[in-house]
Amino acid sequence: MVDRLIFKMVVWVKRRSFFRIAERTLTILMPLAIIGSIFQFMWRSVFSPDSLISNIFYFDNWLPDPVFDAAWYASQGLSSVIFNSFGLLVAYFGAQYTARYYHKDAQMAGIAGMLSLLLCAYRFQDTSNFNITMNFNWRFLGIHSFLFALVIGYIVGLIFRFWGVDFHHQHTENSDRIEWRAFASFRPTAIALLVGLVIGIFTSIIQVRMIASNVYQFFQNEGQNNLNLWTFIPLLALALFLNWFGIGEPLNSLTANMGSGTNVANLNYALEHGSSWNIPNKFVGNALYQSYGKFGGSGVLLALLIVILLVYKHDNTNKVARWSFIPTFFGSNQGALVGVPIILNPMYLFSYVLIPVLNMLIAALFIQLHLIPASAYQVLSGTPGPIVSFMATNGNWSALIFSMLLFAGDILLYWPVVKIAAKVQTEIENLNAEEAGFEYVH
Amino acid sequence: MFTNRRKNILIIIGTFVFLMIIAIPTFFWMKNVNKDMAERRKSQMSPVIMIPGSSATTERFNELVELLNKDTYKKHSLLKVQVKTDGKLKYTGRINKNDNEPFIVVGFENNHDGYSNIKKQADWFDLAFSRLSQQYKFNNFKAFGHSNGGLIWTYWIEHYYSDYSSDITIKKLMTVGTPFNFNEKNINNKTEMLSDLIKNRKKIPTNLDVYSVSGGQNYESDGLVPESSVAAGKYIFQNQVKHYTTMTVTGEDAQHSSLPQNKQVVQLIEQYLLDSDKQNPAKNNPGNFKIKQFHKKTKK
Repeated sequence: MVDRLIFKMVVWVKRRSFFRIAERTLTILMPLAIIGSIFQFMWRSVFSPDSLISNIFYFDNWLPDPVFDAAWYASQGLSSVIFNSFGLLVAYFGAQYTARYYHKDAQMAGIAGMLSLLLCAYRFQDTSNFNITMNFNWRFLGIHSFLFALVIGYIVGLIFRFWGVDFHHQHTENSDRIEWRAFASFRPTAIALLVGLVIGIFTSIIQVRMIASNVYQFFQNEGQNNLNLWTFIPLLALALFLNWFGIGEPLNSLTANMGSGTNVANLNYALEHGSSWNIPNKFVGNALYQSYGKFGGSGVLLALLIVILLVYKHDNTNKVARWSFIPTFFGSNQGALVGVPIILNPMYLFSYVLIPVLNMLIAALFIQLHLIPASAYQVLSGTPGPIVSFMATNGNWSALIFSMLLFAGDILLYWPVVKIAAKVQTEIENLNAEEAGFEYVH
Repeated sequence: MFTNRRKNILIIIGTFVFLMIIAIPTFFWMKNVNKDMAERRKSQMSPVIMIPGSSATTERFNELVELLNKDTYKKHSLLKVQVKTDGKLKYTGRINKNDNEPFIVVGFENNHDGYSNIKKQADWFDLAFSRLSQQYKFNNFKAFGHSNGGLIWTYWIEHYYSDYSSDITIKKLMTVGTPFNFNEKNINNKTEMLSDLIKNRKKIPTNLDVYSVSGGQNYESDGLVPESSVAAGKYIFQNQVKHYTTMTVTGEDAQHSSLPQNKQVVQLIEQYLLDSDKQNPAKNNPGNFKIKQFHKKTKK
């Protein structure tokens, strides 16, 4: 009864125009996200000086510096370019698919969407050198502002819906048609740019950016404060929810910092006493999160990908899972977030937020019961999720076994979720097919 | 061809096999690094590392160490390291097992004067320092430089120290007769070297104590280095380090080359540079011992 209700709700949500457009936008951007995440994995796990692979294989001893630097810059550069300009593409496709959904000129809408987003992110007050360079608030153009870009794209698409002319894309266009098209898109484009301009000026003047940075700053400070578990978990749940919602910065800031005072005290104690069993601060939220809350990036997505690979019949999702498996394994899960997709997908909201929290609580309980030591030692960037706790406890075997069991448990938790997701997918495909007027064949 | 299902299972199994394969080197790497860090953390050693001036060899401070050992209760051992022009290290002397405050002299085969040589010597010194820090795993040390040795120290601190600063603290630096402006008497004529050292002064750690000792054979110089050139050090250190103290010794043995054997200088070293023989001997405080960063060592 209840699961039937959930099922209905999920299907209902997924068929709202906004969520449909979100899904289409994510789908078309999947290749970029996967390529980006593969290079992010190369950067973080292989070629950065503090990465796992470069350290354990002692790259600095035998790999010539220019080769290392070139590979480092290349992988860092490509993933940065993709992910830091991701919002522009989101706005483009968001507007395009919205316009197409309502049978308007999709290409023009896409371009208007992209420009509107640029206007929103433009630093109007930064007038120095404005004739040589343009200054943008790049934070609003990156993948971490997915939701913002999508909403702008959606609004622009709606503008085309109400003020645009009905339009069907054709393969060949003669000059008359192009002319008609240009004139027809004049009004909605102007309105869209005006809206972007108004939002941009408005946010500049009332300093929305400042507020936004303050919010991000809040998460960052909290991350550095080494909150104990009980303060950290609600914040983490909120940050995970926001990341699911397409606002990635809070999660990033909250979980980034590891080198703060409490951690140093813990590490010092562990080094002096030869183990991390009795460190002074056993329940530092972030340390627990790093060890047990993210096997394969946020939301224990590695477990999800394994389940998808094992039970999902949908061919394309399978491919996405395969391609993003290795980056996710090393903690770069943007490809999976966009490709599966997880972002704005009601199917995975609860598991994405709750499984990490559950993991951390179980781990805290085990630490409290003195069954596993707390995490205190340093872990290299890009260490595969399941062995993070092993490294953070200086090779404690019970921590490793516990991690593996926890991970197996996560797989079991994701199992029914993926099964329902597969059903929902089939149901939606059928409904869409019916709607499109195709004969539904069982 | 594999079917999709097979491919899926293959990628899962393959990845976990790969995990097991890299887990082995990871395990040893981790044990190694943590052991290293633990040793360094626990290390009680706080050496005094000395660099002689131009034209001097690693034997330059023998007399100074003898004088110091005469006065102090605990005897300090002396290790001398000569860096050849090809980067090879030649050791003489040794560090006694229970000596927590040994003297280590680092000299260079090419010990010529001039800014370009000082840059080279700083690079050679870094080779020696890197080896010494791996070998003896000290987490703090004191620096002593006579004449151009002080320049090498300053250059090294500005350009190389950041590679170590996360786990090794430089506590004090004492320079004796160091010509921060070479032989230039007028401070308005800054040499290229002084300008460079001033330009990079922000890289000098702010918790460092610096003592600059000058000799006064007459009112202007120690017979070789102008007093104003020694005093030019203030443009580098003052308002950057924790304390910057200048002292001038006069009287017997105040000539530039005699300074390391000067009784007053010996006393100053005992008083300001050394830890031991104080009320609380060898309270080893490694300072801000941060989590180690695995930065690839910058090669200059």
